[in-house]
Amino acid sequence: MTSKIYSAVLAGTAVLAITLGATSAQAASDTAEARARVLRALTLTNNTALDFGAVVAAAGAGTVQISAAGARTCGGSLTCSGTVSAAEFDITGGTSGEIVSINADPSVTLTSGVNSMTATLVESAATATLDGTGAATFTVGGTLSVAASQAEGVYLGTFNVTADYQ
Amino acid sequence: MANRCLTRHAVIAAAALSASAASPAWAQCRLCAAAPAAAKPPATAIAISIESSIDFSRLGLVTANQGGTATIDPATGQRIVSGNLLDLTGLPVRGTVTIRGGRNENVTVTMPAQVTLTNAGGGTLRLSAISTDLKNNPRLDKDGLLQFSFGGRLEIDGSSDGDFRGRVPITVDYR
Repeated sequence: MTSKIYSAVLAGTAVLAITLGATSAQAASDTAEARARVLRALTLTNNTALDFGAVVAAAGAGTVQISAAGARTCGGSLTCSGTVSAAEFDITGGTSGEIVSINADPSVTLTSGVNSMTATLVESAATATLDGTGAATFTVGGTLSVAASQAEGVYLGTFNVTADYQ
Repeated sequence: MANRCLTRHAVIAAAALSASAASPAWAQCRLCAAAPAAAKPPATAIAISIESSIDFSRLGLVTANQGGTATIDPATGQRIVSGNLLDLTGLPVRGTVTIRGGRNENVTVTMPAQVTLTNAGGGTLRLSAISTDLKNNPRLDKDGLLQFSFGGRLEIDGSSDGDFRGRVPITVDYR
């Protein structure tokens, strides 16, 4: 009886092998994903200038810092007055919900005739998420280095800011 | 012992009986039917794996409702942008697929001519002219491998923006 059962098992195995062989000849399928990001071109507008206000130079050097929030810190022996502001920029026309990288030049040179000063720049945030209308606002502050006995004058400079989809 | 021997005899007897029977009886025997199939080695299962999805990456709309097309070349993976679209660089990628199967086997690859990509807001883009870099009569190599890439043309009408996704079904079979 043992032997008969064994034969029956072998027969079963053979049938199974045929079934597998038949399956292997069948086609194989998979699905690839297709992706695209369609983004509306951004418009970047400067609303407010970065303004360090009025500074009275002193015998020693010092710095004037305008935070990205627009608050002034008058350093060293400098005397500061007048209205100050951080630069404000509007991003418009973008794709809502997208994250945008914000980059300002690391520094800007302000000149008055042959005289100059340098300010380092800082963005309010490295990124901004565009709202439901595809807009966002950010600011740029800076730290102005005023040399000892810096020549008087109105110092102006321009710097570049970019906003780009991540 | 005696019992086992007896059983074996019984099996042989049964086989002899079957052999002497008419041929229709053979056809009904499943075990016997296995003989011709076993003579030819069974084909290696064919398998497909997606190595990379097709990604058109970032495309910029300059003006709403004024779009264009972006085409990915299956042979080079290069993206060409035309119409009122901005090339926002990014990292466009062609689709890449590996087929594994029997050595030197001929295969057929079946893909749709076009598929639709959709975004979260229900906007759609059409991916058409889906093509591969396969030669005519594609064949697996001596290791049973064949890798190919595919590209296509994305039609952007500019009516919607955002992240779009679609699915490209691919079927491979022996030819």
